[in-house]
Amino acid sequence: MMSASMRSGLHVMRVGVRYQSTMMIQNSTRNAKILFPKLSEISMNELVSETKPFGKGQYFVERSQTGNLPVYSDTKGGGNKFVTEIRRIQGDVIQLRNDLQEKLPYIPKKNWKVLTQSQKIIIKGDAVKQVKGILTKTF
Amino acid sequence: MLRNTKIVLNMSLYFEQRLNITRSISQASNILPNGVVPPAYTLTTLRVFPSLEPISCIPVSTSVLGVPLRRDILWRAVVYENDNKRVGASNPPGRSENGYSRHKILPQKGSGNARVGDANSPTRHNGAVALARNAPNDYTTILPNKVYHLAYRIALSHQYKQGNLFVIGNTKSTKPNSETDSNILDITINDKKTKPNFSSVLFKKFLNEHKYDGKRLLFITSETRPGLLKYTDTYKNKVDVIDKEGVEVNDLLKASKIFVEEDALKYLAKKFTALSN
Repeated sequence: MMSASMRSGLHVMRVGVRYQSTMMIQNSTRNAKILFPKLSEISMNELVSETKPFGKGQYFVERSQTGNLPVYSDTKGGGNKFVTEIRRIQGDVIQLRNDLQEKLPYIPKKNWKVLTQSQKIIIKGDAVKQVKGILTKTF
Repeated sequence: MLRNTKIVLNMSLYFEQRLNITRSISQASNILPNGVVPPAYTLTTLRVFPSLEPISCIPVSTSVLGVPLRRDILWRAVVYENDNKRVGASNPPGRSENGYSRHKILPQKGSGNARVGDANSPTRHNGAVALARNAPNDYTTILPNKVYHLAYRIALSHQYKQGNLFVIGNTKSTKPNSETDSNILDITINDKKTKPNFSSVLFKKFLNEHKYDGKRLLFITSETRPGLLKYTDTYKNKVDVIDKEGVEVNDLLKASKIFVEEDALKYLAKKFTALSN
């Protein structure tokens, strides 16, 4: 009894601290500073370029606010079917699928699906660990 | 107390480091060779009004003016706005309100025709409405704020990409060449009966010079501009002047040219990226 209540008490404290800190960052640094920097604060290769546009044949996977990779597992069909979902993909999704397929040859090609409008890759079966293992080396 | 603040500071530092991780790439491993960090900023020209002469450039985050087009998200936002605009004032009569008698038109059996109740039946000509309702009818729908914010940024980015977005402002406080030009979307009110009265013809000249006559224009101002409101009044069917707080996705998409003050753009950018990563 005693230990359980202590544990829950500690847990509550931790959540409080974490919430405060994330709020602080969101309000102070992020919005004001990054949206409209001074011209001197940024470098040339951070700018959109006409000659080398980002998109065709290139991709980027953005991490979540807490620094995790956006690879999630989900169950469909009443919990019968397990799927892996890769989200937050910018640029060429097809290219990323092709590159991932090359690295994961043991997943049959028919298990891969790309949602082009919402920029997601869906893999039938549990491949969260394998996909994260590959993505974490680059992104 | 001191220790607590220390923890908070440490945590904030930790999260700042983690945040920097969200947009980075390691080129050391050649595992995914086509992974590239997308550009973070786009250069936007600052212009003066009404000559639209370029004065300087500012970098704007691609999360504001470089969002890829998602027509489905725009559609959801437009439907959401239009649903919420509906007044819902219709009062179609139901069976009990329709006015005919409750009398049965034909006997139940023996006529050779189909069974009939009273003349108020919704299946009959001049009958009642099957799903009657009374004003005020609520047609409002909901949309997650994150989706609406994204739609707003998509609309801004799309117009920017098409070359229809003009940012009015001046960071370097360079003097514009012409006397009538200003760094805000306003025309000084001149009520004197002197001729020629330049203020009253300034907006017409603006329309003619840039061939905007007959086009739908949207002016987004950071505060109420009485001069601009006064001199655009004759064109109010085609020209919208809206304060930054009142602009909707519909307005952004319907306009063929958008003129936004730098401060208003900053306000909108901050407001509509507040929930995004």
